Amino acid sequence: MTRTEFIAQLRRALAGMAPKEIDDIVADYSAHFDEGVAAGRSEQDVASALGDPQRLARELRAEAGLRRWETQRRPAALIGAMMSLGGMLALDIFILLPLLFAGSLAGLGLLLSGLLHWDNVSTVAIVASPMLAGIGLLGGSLGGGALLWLVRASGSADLLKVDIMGSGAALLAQLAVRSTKIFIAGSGDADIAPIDDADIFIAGSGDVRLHTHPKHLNSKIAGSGRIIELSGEQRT
Amino acid sequence: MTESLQVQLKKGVLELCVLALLSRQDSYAYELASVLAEDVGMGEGTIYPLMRRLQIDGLVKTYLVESASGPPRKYYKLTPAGRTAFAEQKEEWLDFVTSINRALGASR
Repeated sequence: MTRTEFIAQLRRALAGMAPKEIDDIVADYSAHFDEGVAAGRSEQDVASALGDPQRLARELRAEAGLRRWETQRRPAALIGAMMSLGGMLALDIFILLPLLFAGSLAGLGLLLSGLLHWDNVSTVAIVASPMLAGIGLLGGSLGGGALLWLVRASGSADLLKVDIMGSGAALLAQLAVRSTKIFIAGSGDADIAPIDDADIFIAGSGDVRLHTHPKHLNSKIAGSGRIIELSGEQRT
Repeated sequence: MTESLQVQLKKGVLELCVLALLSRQDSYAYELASVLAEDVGMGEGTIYPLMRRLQIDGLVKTYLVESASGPPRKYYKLTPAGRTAFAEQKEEWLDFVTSINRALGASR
């Protein structure tokens, strides 16, 4: 095989990858021919030592495919977090993925509409906080089953207002906020870490776990839920 | 040794070999490929998918050096992460060889 044939076959077999990536790869193999010929080898010799271009292309494509999957896994970390927290890790990802994806989309919608209602919340800080993982609505479409509401966030905000109406849990211990207003009507628990003020109203059975000692604590409890002040080592 | 076992073994140690070569001195792909083709019997072409992966994993980085005989050469250099990876993989390999040798010795 000549150099031209080798490169042409390689290019054909790489078709579909990003053009820049193909150019980079082809440049590598062209340089290899340059070196080989400069060292006194024939093009045929270099080509046969390189191996089958189809096979090399498969290897290169597999490498790129793996990478794409790895980078796309990041937004899907949300799904992964939900799955592990829901104890569903063992379930086949291919069966659950569409369901979970729909659930997380619905959850994100909920979260966003929630954000719009919050007054004085520094929305941007929350939305931009990288650890904001998501809200899952599981089985909600299946006869209004259990509502799992899961918020996990880190970052900072001036005022955080959380309403828990269902059985969801708000894991907000990582979110450093000055003030937190929390209202629990359901059975969901909340982990919070406000620095200055905590305004807690529990009408349901959910507990609020305080990961800090806020300067002002204002609480009203109408339900069976409790406010638990965690000591240092219990905090996350 | 069956051919597939040999191929699998070579594939597994190719990365270790490249890291070892680069830990001694920076090099370019053609040189790495020539050494490995001669010493390990690898197809020269497989060096490129490997170098791309190492680069994306942040174990090597590249720089260009003018060459007397043509266009500039792309040299590969180990990053600190690459050095760490080399030390770990070397350790693993030596452990592996020791236990295999022990097993082979015992079965004799």
